[in-house]
Amino acid sequence: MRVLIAEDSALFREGLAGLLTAAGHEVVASLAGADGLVDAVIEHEPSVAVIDVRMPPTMTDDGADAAREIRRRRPEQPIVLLSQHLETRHSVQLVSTGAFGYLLKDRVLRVEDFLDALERVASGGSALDPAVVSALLAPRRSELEPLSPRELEVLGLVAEGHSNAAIAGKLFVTDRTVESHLRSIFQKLALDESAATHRRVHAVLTYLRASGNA
Amino acid sequence: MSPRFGSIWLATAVCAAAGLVLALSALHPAGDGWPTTVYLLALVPLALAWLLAVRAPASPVGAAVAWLAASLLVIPALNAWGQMSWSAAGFANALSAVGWPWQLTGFLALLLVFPDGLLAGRRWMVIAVGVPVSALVVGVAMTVTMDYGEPHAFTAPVLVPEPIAMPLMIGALTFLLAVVVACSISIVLRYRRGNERTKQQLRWLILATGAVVALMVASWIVNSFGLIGEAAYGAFLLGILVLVPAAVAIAVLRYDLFEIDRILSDSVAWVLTTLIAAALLAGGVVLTGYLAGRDSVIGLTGSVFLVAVLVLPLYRRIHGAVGKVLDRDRTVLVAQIERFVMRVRDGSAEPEEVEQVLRSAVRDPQLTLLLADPAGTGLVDLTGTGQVAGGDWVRVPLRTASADIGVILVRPGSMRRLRRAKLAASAARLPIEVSRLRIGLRRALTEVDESRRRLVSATIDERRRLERDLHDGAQQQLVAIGMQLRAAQYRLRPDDPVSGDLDLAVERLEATVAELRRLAHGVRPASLDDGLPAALARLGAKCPLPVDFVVEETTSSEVVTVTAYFVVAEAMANVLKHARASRIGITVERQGDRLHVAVIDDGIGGVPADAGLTALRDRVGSVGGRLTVICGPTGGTTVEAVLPCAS
Repeated sequence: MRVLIAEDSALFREGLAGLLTAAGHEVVASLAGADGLVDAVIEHEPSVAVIDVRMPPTMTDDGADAAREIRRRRPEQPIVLLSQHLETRHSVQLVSTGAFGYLLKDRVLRVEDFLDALERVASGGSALDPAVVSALLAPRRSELEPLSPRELEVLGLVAEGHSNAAIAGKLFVTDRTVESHLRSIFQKLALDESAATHRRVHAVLTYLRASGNA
Repeated sequence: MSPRFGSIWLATAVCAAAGLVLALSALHPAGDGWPTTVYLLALVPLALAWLLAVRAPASPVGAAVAWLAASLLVIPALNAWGQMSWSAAGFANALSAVGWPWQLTGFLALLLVFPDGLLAGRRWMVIAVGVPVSALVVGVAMTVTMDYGEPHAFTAPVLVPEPIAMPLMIGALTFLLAVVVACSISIVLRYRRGNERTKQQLRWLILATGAVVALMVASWIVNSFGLIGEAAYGAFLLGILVLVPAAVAIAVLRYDLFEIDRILSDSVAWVLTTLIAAALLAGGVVLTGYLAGRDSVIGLTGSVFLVAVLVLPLYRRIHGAVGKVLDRDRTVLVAQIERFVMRVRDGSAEPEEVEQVLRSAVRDPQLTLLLADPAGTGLVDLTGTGQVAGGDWVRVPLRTASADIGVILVRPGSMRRLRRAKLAASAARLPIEVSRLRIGLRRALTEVDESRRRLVSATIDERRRLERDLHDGAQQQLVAIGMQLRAAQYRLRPDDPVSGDLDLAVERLEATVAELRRLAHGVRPASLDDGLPAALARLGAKCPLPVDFVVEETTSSEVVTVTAYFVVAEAMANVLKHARASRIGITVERQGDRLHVAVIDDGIGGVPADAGLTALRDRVGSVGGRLTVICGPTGGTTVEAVLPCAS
């Protein structure tokens, strides 16, 4: 993958670059702030842009703002936002549009998972941090009551952006079992079932997001 | 020289002549001395007449007073002349016999035209003419009916026959009495129609006249018991020669010298009480005497006792009733303020309304009440704003035994208005003092409130910075170190035993980062960056019980949002610790400029005596909010916080 990194902490930036290089990926550019970020992404057309949410110049949401701007100018550009702590305000809507990821920074230490998420996003899928997913699920607990614990687990993994095969691998079950769980879930929540992973993720996240603000 | 001065000169000349005659008669062996000394009193009204003429040349009262003195001197002078067997003594005697009722005319004329020299109306001209005519009629009637049978007394050459004499006398005296009554009515009419100033002036005259009547009655009583003899008549002369002119002079020159309303009202109340008490005593004695025999000691004692018991409440009643008529302003003012003080006491009025009440009581819509600043020097108004007393105002100082508590500023005006303002101020002293202390209290509380708010605000800013530092500093560093470890791990062979050590180290690092995140969350939940609903949802996600949310998306200050968050967090922790509940309900809604935050459970109820709740109460109080804990009758507890979010 050709990766662009935007991150203000030099230590973290270098660490991430080293990690990616060691894993056989190419870091095409690394920036220390949000200034010029959009142009850099347009110029380099990376497989995925990894962007810190909190960056100079204002140290608030500059990264997230830049991500939205990139999405507007180049809708198909894969982006992964990194955050030091949970913020669902910007992320979930963008994640549900596909080719978008939102992860806590310390996920980087689970290198395999992190690279998997990057690759998922780079190929047009989505990646949502498990902590964000559980924050989305919590307020909906009463509506999700009809689901069995296993189905809830599957729903969470779908929301994180995993494919059926990945879910099956994580739960040590067959694809068919996952599919039957999904059918049951979609039926119980009265959602339109779709075969395509990203549309499914979209449906689930839209459902959960609607609940989060209810 | 104005005709009035001429008139006073003439009256003075008459007085001088009469005085000369009286002095000569006193020196004469046949004369008796005492009237002369008494008539020297006439110098007083003469002096007053001149004073009035000089100080108030436009007023006709000076001349009237001069003639009052003259009319009182002329008759005794003629009488003295007649007694001394000088030439024309017979004529003088005849004049004095016919003219003695003229002594009254000066006084009656004063009653008719006081204080502005005008009659009460055109028809009153009849009475004005009636005054000298009635005096003449009485004089003539007495002369033609009385046979004094003394050498020096004048006896008419022809006396009317006995059967006509009595009706003639009665008729003539009734005529005179009618004129006197008419003059009194004229006073009442003028009093009713008059403006405030006229009323004030008339009150002086009424007071003096009342005193003259009282003196007359007293001297008559004393005389009829034969105690002092004719000298008792001197008291009446004293009244009419000194009291009336003095009262009249004050009325014209300095009508608001004293509180005439109050003096008059008190005097009338006193006289009425005395009369009623005397009547009661007499009635009691007569009644018990009739029932229990003439010399019944019990009857007398009982009557005295009864009167003694009744006299004080009687006086209060009469004083109130008389005050309403004669001293209306004052009585109404005091009553109005006393009513207000009562309302302040029972809580239906605020002491700060005192300025309004004073304005309406004193009838000065621009009256201003300024209070001595309880916190320092200078004056403040009732809202506590500093004020400077302007120059055009009359300052009525307000004092307690130990301190100045402020001033009342009134428009410049008569002494009377000033006295009213003073009276009102003293009657309203309590609410004024309370208002002043409340200003101090309010200010102190506001300061405490503001400083607490500033402290909390600073603390919250501080926490926010701390949280950022934790996230962006320590936490990020740790993650970066972890990544370096991972990068190092990549360069090892997969089966290298160090790789396992690195895995362990990174795992510990992850745990440390999670712990740091938890710490930072306690300092200030970063989830609040997503807004209160999202933060609360995440809080609910960690709760083992089902949580029902009704949470509005609102915008309020950081301080309020953080406080609301901790209210919910702490209340939920309490529910988990104590309530044995199966569900928790969380509602957050904005009502106007207040944020209502409530955490409801269906547990066993009861308020846990928990330090957490006390800390929470302080936390809510520090942003100016209020925390209430309500236990349902059948269990369940509601913790509700109302937070102001205007700021």
